[in-house]
Amino acid sequence: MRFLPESWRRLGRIWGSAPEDDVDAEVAFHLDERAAELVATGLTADAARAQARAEFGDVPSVRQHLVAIDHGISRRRSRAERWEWVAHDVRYAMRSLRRAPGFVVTVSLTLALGLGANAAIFSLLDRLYLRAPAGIAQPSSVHRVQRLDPVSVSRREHPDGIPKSGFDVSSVFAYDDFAKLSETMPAGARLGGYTMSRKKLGRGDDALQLRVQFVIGDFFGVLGVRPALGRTFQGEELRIERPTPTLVISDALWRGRFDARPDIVGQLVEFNFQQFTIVGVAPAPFRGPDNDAADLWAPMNMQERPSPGGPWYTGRGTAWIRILARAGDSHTSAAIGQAATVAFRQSTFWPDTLAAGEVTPLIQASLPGSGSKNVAIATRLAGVAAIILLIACANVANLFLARGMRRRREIAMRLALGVTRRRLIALLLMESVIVSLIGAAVALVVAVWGATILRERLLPDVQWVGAAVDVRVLAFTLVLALVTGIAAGMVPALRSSRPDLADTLKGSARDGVFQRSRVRSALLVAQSALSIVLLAGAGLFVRSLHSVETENIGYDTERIVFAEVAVDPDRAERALEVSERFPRLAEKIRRLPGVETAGLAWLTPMRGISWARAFLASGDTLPQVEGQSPFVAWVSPEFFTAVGIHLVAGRGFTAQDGSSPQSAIIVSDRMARTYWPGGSAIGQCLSVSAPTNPCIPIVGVVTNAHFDGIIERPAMQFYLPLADTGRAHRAHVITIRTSKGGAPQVAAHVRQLFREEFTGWASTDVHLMSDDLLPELRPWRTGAALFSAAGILALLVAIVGIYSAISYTFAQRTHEIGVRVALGASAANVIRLVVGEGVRVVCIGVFIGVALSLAAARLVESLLYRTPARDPAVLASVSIALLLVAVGACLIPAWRALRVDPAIALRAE
Amino acid sequence: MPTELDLLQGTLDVLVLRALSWRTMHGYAIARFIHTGSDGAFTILDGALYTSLHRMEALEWVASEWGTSDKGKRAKFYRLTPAGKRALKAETASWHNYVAAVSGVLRAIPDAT
Repeated sequence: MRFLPESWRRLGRIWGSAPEDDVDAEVAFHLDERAAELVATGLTADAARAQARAEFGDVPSVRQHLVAIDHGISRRRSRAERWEWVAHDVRYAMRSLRRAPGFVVTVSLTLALGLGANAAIFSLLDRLYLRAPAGIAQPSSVHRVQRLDPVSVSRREHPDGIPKSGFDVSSVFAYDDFAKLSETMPAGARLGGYTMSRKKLGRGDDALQLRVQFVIGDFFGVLGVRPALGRTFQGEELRIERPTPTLVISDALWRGRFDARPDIVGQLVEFNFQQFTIVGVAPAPFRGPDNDAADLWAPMNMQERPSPGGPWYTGRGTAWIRILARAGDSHTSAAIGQAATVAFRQSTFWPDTLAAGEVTPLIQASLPGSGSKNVAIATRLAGVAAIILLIACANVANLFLARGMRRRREIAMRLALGVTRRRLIALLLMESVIVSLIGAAVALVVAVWGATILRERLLPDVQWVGAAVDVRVLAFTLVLALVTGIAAGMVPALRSSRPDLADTLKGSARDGVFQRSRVRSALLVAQSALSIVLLAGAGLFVRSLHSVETENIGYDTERIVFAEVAVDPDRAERALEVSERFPRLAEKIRRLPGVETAGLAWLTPMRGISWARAFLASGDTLPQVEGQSPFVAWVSPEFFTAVGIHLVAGRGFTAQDGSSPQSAIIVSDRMARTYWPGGSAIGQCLSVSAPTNPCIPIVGVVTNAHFDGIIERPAMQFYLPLADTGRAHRAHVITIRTSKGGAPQVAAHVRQLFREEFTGWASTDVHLMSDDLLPELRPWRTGAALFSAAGILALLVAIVGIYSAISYTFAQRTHEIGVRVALGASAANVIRLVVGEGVRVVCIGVFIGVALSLAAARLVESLLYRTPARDPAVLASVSIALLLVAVGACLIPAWRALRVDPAIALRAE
Repeated sequence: MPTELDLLQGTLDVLVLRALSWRTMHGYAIARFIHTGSDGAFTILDGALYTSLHRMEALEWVASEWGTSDKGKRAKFYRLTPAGKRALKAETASWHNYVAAVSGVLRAIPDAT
């Protein structure tokens, strides 16, 4: 059918009949012709017909055969034609888009931002949640053990067991739990435990802060990790009782720090200020079972820490071990859960408990809720990215609507020429899909860039494998772009394919009558509402960051330098020597320029915690408050001034306090108020370690200070004088108070001094206290920066949206404004009209946005610090900000409307 | 005897293509052309002719269109497509080769070795 023009073919198809009819007609024509010819030779009509049929052959069977062939032809043709339509639409859409390059750039960039943000976040979350960490054999067989505690449900209410809801889920355990569980393990299951910590490899300037996993039990066996070199842990190393200073290092560390030396196994290295033997190298991709990559592994028995009485690992109520189990089948994994339940209920720590054990797959266990703060931020960012895309969609839909309005004469013409509405919609959708795909191409560039930044800034500790944008991200982006293109183009396509035919074609001078478009307003409202949500989120984060940064942790953070020395624990005589040198060193440091004073302490604030059992004069144990006992620190008299802790009542330590062991105790304000309300603390006494020890008088009360971080539960603390000599708690750290801004120089001086003093026989560490706080501040800073960036992005898109919608509306109303001006409307009237139009719509959006923010507050609550999720100040300020922006965006169209010359506007009539 | 049938089918295709190489024709006209051209030497069932036409339409060797016959009746006309022209050339050549080969064998005298 190629010999007919295209249009004819289409007509032919419209009138086209079924293959059956065609074949019947063709065969009938043949038989008629043949019969007529035979009749002309003298046969009777009947005989002629009979002969014609005979010459034809088996008519019904031939007919059937022909119909079958024709069906095949028509099927193939309609398929080909469909593709032809698509190709035609693409060509047409490209042609029409090429005529509007500004439009294409605006729309595709808007979509690129939205798509790019989503692609970047997807690339993060895909790694974090949808794939198991690298290097684990059959990750689906690896499970985490969890403990479920019914929330305030007494046994009487549920005599038969545990209700299905209301659990506290915990995944860290005390050593006792691990030991019990090891005994009750079902056959065929393997059990291992670990905990993550940060320790230093090497010493001095060369030292490397590393992430170490202290492991116990069959940790490597559970994860199916075979060493690339040497061995993993064995024998005593798997147990907790005796310290075994051995290390398994990651491939990355082996290559990065040890130049991939083949003779690494058996080498001695200094780690955590002790000598360790490297016994093995883990295979390349393996960096532990968490998203947080570990650099090396050490036996848990090397994790010894200060503990009041008894072996350190049996400390009551301290849970720190994460437990992993490998089970070959679901039967075994269920058995592990049951064994855990039995183990938990036998625990002596929590007698009479209803706790249940449960196992969850390794991948699923890292789902939102159990992750770090950074991971929580990443998941919220997914929501933010989705909102940005929605805003972009609304914006693009509005731009397409405006474009549809401009093209309504062309569209009306096509409709009048008989193009069906379906075809027209397909044609218009093709445009938005093409622009969206262009946007997706740009988005991939945005995603590579964005995901790399997020990886480095937000989640630097995660074990990232492979490129930020891979096939999965590519596929995700393409699908998202298609969906976005259709979603953003659907409403405009539906609207513009239904113009008022007669009106438009008549081409009234005013080019159609202006109608306030409800769809356009709705899109603008949605856009403003979503912008409010994002801005509110950003505002809350910035306020939280401010709260964290200005949190009074009890120290003059910016002015403090810590100088520590660590020696091999086996060389006790050296430790003694260090502490004996400390007073002289402190004296030297006090004379350095920029140093105001220097104190001594055992354990630095924020870098070590110590408990000591304390007893009242009556011999009773000091009662726990909210499950906590007071912490203890041993400090020199200058310590308080040095770190910025002030006296509230009584006196500080004196030089004499240090020489007699049981001379004085100083308590924190919180502790004083808790145990001796009404300011009666001074004059009371406490016995330390055992009730039979002498009761030490409380001589002073000092301001509260944090012991572990910026954000922590308020804790009680008491101080004992640092002994001059001879006792266990000796000077371990010098706390130096510097003049304002002098900390970095002082640190450099002290570092030099310490190097001269200790090089060769102890490791030293001199650092600023503010550096200690950085890791804790980082997620807050990153979060605030990311959410603010998202908010600003949303604001930008909103500005473009409002501006284009309002200016387009008033470009259509030129005539109306001309009339108003001719009738005497003042400039103020016109501005009020235009700005009022925009602000009215945005106001509705603001109201909806505020309502949405209030409803969504719950989702971000956990990420905030000392900032209510429904903070009225934040909501009010972002609402005002958006309204101001809306007014600003309306001013240009208003100014343009003002310049309308009524004469020209009216002449256009 | 499939070989004979195939031969017949192929031959019929060439004849139809040849007929259409002159001008656009409807099925009946093609049948008459072949009948006259062969001087009645062989008869073909008209049904086979139409099967050949439709089959070649599926192969896009010929194209069809409804039109009006000399006597003013509605009839389906067939036309050769460029692919059909190429097919005719190829089929004709292979037919000549075939004929030449067969004649060669018929003329040949066995070697007296």
